[in-house]
Amino acid sequence: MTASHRFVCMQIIAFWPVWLWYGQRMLDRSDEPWGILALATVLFIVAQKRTGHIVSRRALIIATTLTLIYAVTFALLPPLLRAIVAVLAIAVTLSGIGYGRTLQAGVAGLLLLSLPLIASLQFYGGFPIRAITAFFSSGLLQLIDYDVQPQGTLLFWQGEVIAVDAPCAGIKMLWTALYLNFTLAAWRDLGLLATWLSTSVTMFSVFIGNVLRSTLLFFTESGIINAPDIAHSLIGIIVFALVASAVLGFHQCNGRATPCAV
Amino acid sequence: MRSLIIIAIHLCAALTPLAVWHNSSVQQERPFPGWPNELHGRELTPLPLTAQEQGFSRGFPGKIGRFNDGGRDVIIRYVERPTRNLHPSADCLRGAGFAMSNQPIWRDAEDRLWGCVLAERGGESYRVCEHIRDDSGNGWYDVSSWFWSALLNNDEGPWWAVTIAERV
Repeated sequence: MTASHRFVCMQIIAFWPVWLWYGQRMLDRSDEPWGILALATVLFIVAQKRTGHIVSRRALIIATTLTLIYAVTFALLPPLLRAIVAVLAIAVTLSGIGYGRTLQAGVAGLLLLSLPLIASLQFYGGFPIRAITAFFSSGLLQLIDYDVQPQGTLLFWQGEVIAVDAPCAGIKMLWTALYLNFTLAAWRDLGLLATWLSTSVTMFSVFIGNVLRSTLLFFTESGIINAPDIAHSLIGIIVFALVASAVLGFHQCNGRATPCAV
Repeated sequence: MRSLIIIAIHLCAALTPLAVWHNSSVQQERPFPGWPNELHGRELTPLPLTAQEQGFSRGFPGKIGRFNDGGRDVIIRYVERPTRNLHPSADCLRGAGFAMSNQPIWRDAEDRLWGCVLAERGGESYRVCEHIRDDSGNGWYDVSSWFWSALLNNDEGPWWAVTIAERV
């Protein structure tokens, strides 16, 4: 066992309350269990990379500082925020072992996605994202002569109310698109700047996809287009396919020696 | 020396949770006005909380009551302040082993909007609808909208989160 592996073991022991909480959250099934997939992916990718790297002094200092922050703020932070600090510390170590880097952002992203985040994102992010989506969807609809007025997460049209409801926040689409982005970033060993750029493109694509989905769903939910029940899911799948294509396309272009744009 | 510092910090992190004294400052509870007697014109009969509901009620800033209105199960949560502990009913049902799928928003006879899901487990199906309201007549059909509205408007509450489960 190398010194780097001993350091990871020390971190695993130090963060024992995080694993206890993680296990409880997985077992109570109140959140989507998708985090397991992200965890398995990051462990697989790091295992595939060279593991002979030694964690640098700089990485050790950063990881230990994060551990110190974790210990000092333990009583103040809720379990999810404590877990974020802990997995960032482990991300620094895994980046050192797998890539010889101080921080591989794809690894950090996948470790963050491995946490039970979705229910909390729905709770805190659900309303703001849906309100913004409703605002932009109504703008698009007004452009094509539908007098749709947004109010919070609701769209008012000819006395009817169409709700941009919880699934329309696109939190699951965001999670899946980020998973795809961070997996590619970790697999291709993208640098911090390139990962930041691809993550920004991913989030922007999800936002555009969300607005597009809400706009299309307006026609089915308001009864303007008489569509079968499956149309709702189908629109979601098609929009996600477009978002995933955008993420894959960006990564593909980013990997070329010459830019894609002509 | 550096190794010793690193080990000491990690040891400290491992032991901190054992030493942390949780300062359980007692919040001033407001007087509980009592549970409503009826919903949608149907009389509510109180029922005992299930073990899961008793678990949820620990640390919940308010009270949880379970009722039957003669055909539907009704859970009412009395909430004293904006809190992450007001979980969406869908999360609680998913935790109880139900498969969830979304349903259209339901507008009741009093023009209130309810967020609805279909909960299925072992051949049983329930349409579960949720609405949160305050005593001033404001209403929300999901917890995220309620949380942000309460926070941004600095509302003092209290609020009533009503969940209706109807077998379908």
